[in-house]
Amino acid sequence: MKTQYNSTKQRTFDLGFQSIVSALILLLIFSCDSFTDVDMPKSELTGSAVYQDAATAKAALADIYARLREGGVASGTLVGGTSMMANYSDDMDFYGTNTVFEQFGKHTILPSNSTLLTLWSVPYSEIYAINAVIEGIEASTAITGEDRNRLLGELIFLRAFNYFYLVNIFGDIPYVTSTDYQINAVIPKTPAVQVWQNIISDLRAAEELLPETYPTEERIRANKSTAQAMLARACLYTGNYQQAEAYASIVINNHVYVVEANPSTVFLAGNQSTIWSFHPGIAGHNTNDAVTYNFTSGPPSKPALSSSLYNSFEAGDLRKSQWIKTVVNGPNIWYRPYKYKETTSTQPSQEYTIILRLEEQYLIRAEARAISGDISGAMQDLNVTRNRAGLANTSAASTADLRTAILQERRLEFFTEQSHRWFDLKRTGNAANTLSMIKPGWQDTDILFPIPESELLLNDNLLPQNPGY
Amino acid sequence: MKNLSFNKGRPHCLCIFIFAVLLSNQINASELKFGSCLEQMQQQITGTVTDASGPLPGVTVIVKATNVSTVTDEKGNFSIAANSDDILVFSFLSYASQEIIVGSETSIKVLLSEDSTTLKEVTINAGYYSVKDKDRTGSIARITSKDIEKQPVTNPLASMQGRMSGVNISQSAGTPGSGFSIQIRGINSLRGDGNDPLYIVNGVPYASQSLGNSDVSAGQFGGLSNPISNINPADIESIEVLKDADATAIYGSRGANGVVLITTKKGKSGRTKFDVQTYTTIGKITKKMDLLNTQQYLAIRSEAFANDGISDYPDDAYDINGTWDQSRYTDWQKELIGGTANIYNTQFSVSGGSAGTQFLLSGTYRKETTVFPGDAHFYRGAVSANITHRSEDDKFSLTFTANYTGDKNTLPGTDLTRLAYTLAPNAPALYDPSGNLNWENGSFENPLSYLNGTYINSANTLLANALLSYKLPAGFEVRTSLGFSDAQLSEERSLPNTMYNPFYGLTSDASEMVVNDGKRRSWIVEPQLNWQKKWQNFQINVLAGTTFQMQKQKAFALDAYGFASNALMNSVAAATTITVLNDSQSEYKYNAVFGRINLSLKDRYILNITGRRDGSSRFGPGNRFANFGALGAAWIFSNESLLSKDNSILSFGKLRASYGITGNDQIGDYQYLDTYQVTPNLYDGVVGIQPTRLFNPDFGWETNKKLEAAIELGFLKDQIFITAAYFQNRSSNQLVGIPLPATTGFPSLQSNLDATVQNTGLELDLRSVNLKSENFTWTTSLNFTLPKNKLLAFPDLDASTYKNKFIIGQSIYIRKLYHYTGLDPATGLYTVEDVNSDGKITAAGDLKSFIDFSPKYYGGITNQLSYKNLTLDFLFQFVKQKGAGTASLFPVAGSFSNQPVQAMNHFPQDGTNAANQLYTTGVNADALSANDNYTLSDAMIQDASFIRLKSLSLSYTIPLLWSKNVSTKIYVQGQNLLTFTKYKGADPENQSANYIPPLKQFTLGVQLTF
Repeated sequence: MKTQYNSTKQRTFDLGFQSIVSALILLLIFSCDSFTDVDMPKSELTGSAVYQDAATAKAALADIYARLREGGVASGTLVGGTSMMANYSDDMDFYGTNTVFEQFGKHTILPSNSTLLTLWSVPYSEIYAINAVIEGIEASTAITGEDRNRLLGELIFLRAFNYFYLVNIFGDIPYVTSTDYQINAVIPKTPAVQVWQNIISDLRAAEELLPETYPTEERIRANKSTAQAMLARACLYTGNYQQAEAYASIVINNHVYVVEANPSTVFLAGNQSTIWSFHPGIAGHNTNDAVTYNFTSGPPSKPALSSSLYNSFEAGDLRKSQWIKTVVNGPNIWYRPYKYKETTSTQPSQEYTIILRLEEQYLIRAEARAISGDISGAMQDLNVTRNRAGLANTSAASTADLRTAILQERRLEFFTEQSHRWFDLKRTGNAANTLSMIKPGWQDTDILFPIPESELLLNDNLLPQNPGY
Repeated sequence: MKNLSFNKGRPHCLCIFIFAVLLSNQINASELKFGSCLEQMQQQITGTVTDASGPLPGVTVIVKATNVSTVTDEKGNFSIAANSDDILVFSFLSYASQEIIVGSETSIKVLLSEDSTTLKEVTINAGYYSVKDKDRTGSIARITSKDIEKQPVTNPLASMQGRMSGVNISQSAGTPGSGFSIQIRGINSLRGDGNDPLYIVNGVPYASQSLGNSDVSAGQFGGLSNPISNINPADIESIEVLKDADATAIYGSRGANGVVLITTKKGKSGRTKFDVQTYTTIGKITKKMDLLNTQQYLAIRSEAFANDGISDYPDDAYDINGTWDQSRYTDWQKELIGGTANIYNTQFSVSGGSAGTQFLLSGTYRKETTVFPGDAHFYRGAVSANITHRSEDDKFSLTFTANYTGDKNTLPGTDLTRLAYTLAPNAPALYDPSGNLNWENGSFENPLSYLNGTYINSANTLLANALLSYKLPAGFEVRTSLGFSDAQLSEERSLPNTMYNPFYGLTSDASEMVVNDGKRRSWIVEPQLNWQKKWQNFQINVLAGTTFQMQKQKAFALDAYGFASNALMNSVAAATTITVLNDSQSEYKYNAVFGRINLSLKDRYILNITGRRDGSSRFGPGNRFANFGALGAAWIFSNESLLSKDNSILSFGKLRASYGITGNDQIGDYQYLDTYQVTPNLYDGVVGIQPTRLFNPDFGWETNKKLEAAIELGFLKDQIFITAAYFQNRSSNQLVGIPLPATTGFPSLQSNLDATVQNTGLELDLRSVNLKSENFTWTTSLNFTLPKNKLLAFPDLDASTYKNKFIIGQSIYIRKLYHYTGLDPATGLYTVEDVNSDGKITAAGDLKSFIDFSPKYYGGITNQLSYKNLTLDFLFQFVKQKGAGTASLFPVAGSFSNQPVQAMNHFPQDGTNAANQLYTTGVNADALSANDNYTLSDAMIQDASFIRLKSLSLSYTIPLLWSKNVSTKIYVQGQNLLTFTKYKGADPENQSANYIPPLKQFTLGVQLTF
């Protein structure tokens, strides 16, 4: 009996035991199959899915526009290209304790300067994104027709736009056209002349691809005129005055664009002279520029407008009173840019950062005409902005005088906008004589910025460093 | 019983065996003799086991060389059947085991004494299994609650500093909740962020990656908030650090950087014990930097202006142009970081239970303040619960532990340390006569205004685990470990307009609030099967198990800007602009099978084989699985008959060695995918998406081959115990984010590099009982590590982006530097060597010197002296290393910033041997560039070695004659009391001018147990 009982017990036990062991063995064998599969992260899309749909491709494009607004060469943020180049030129004097900005303001830039690196890396990061989206759209069968042309046109335009700034700031630069890191990590410099050719051919391609119209009612994305306006500028910079005049004329003759009657409305959202501006992103936001240049007490803790600029306005120039604000502390007085006025949110947004405006096209044409001998045409174009500022017609009547007058007019019209002043001084050969007296660290090699040191350490092919650093 | 086994293959024998096993707990052992054929007479032996303070429950009593065993009951009593020539072995955790020959006695009284020198008897937690210290084949360092209790620390890592060989820990900031860096046997990976060890709390992996967001907590901790600091040190029973392949290979892909096992306290059977402990601590910064006074500072400034040829002081040179009072002097270090930090900590626990079921409940409350002005504080509430149950038949056991910690940390939005060092000594008063913040007409950025912005960090951490086991016949045991962890972090940082100079005219429209919510949840299931079998001379232990782990993480951060009033700032919804900074979710799945075979022959020859096959979702399909494993062996030569007989000098001797492969998968989730992520960038009403990374679908595991050889020797009954170990770890197939130039669009690419990093080293541990008498004991323990790091191989280093960072044959801790060549007598500026003689100084061409920042050696010496009820314990920590000097931490001398006093020794006054170059206010481009090169040169390297009295503890147990069960202990403790160093900066440990250094602390506490 006892034995019988025990056997039963053992059988039960054996069964339980066997099943546990078998289960474990099964687990050991089968555990390693699909358990480690994970779903896609919910906040991400696969690269291929992005190009299944024009809407997601547009989101990728929106990101590129927004990044251009928030950082890099044309951004109005404190560390953006616009304020750094103004600081580097005679638009502004350095104040404050920020040693990174001080190096720009006093022409003592070191290759290790952190803002210098962002002026280099942000555009290249945008160029990567642009190239990636171009490759995606070109490979996509889902994005076709008008959508495809417009998107590609905008992307190619934005690529040229970034390179325009890079070549002006750094000279010979790597010209990246693919997303292949194996190529891009060891890419050598392309001579500036070649970069300029690429910029112009990209802009021409964009001009072809882009339609006349903006995608929405606002002028916040590139269209055909945007490409043409940029072509006019690039042709002027590269000495192709005939083409510069031709492109500027196309834009000027486009009835969509009208010079605002009074300087006070030039920087308001929805004005008629804007060719391209940045949408501020969040509804009710205004410009980064207004915040960047704002200070209310003196001495300022950041760069302020130079008194030389303030004093160079002719008597009665409306721009002096409408676009500049004075800050007084006792006997001392300081000036700050007041083109963009809204430092906080408004409903709706009052001001957008303007990248391209019609006034520049008149002054491009004036300069091209002056150089090619069309004196009266040049005077006429120059008087557009003079008259609007409440000034009489120009008295300059020779090519040389007109060139001087146009350079001066550009200074007064475009101060603290889009690096205009620094690039104008540089391209007209006036940098040394203008800045050597003002900037303590001026050297003739300051015409080019240093290539960021960390880049030279990572890619030998970028050597040698630009002269003087 | 030992005569019966499966081996005989006779079914009826097996039946009897099973029957015996099943009923063994119901039947008295004495009855068993009828079921077996024993030659000698057995008798029932009874007795009592006590220690110095009374009966000792839970002591294991084994008849040597048999499986017969029992455990003492609550009164320390036991009863066991044995023959007269049997030997009874009495053992209990951290007590010296005793062996007693039964002889003719039937009633035995045993007194066990706690003995630090018998640590080799201690059972060490090795993660999936535990092992007696003397039998272990791997390298495991350990501290227990006794060491932890001696230090009033917030983060468990702090209690390990200086106490373990091969483990180098440094604190990055002195604020509560701040980060620690831990390196177990050096850096293995070329990547900067993949060198964390694996943390396991009660068997559950604990992710050490921060849930913080750098937009919110950039300026508080010298890094992100550290999850390890959310584990309450007071709840910890022991911390084991697994170092070599033998110990870590069972953790496979995650063991490369070592494993830190944290075990929390468990209840013990016996009478119900209440324990109340409370202490209070005051803390100050360890050292102030020696900075300029006003007179010295202004002298430098005026000389700098003169050098720059500026005679009209600029508008914004307030310190010297007359705006600020030039006779004023403030010691800003005293004002801004010179306060006293307080800690109040109270802990209560109740524990106890029967032989079958034990419990522990404990609660901790802690409040900690900072040395900053204002009311920054850290609160902690922690609860820990544990229940252990063993069924009456001893077959089933269950251990359940839950630990919950709620931390709330309120800190200034900005660490004021940097301002304390750099603010001009004649800067104006902080408050105006009416008690408001003084802005000195807008010329003074009042540092206290930063206190208007706060950083609040609330972390809730729950860790729960259950370990179920069931003993099957024939030495089999099934176990399942179930774990769950839930970590939540919510951070907010306010930046109200009142932080800024009112002269900017900012209103609450410019007030900003940045918030971040991070959640991480994980579960783990690890079924295991264990089999052990003992024969006369041979013992085998087999373990097989599998792991299923899943972790989900969510993060949501937003920036709220512009409020109608600052009173509304706590409601993000009231902001005029809300930007989502981060909204991400990730999932990590991990699956493995693992096993161990441990063979022990004659208690002398031990072989330990471990292995693991791992799969991780962090790798692309095709690269998910990999195998890891190790072989460890030990030879206890003191048990050899030749040596063991009457050897009064050598009491223990063991040689052990191990070799194996572990891996590293600390790369973040989804890195192999080509994806676009949603960004906070809005344009024309469209939310932007952008490429997440340069993707590489093909990267695989980093492998780490570890070799170790060690000798352990005990002399004079183990009163002197020495362990010397040599290790060699080689990490290859380096999984790194290869740095790329910006022209690629991204800073790095995830990929495997065919480079090999080697860490070798010598570790020495020594424990000695210097004196032991009835009333007085003095013990010393020393740990010492001599590490060496070396980049063994890196094919095509010169063609890679690492060429200016590493040198083959050198440590990967090196930093390339210029070679300083003195002051130029003509210009008075620093010069560095133009190595490539191209006439200019360029980083690519001339950064050819280098300095190795790895520690040359480090360690600690602990002494414990006890006289009757008085115990004194102190630990000296020492590190031999180099560090960056103060020159790199300050702006150029002559600019609008205070300087270390060394800046006074300068050109031209002190000639070309001066410490400082010609002063400049910042407009001399050559001087700035020279200063920049200087701070990157070998001249700024300083000796940052230090010897530090890390902890000191003096405790006195008040003898209470009226009751044996009540004990009261009072104690004083000190932390970082003395530091001996030549380092000129604030502190050689964190070497920072931006974050508060670790604090010097004094503690007074009392513990009552009844």
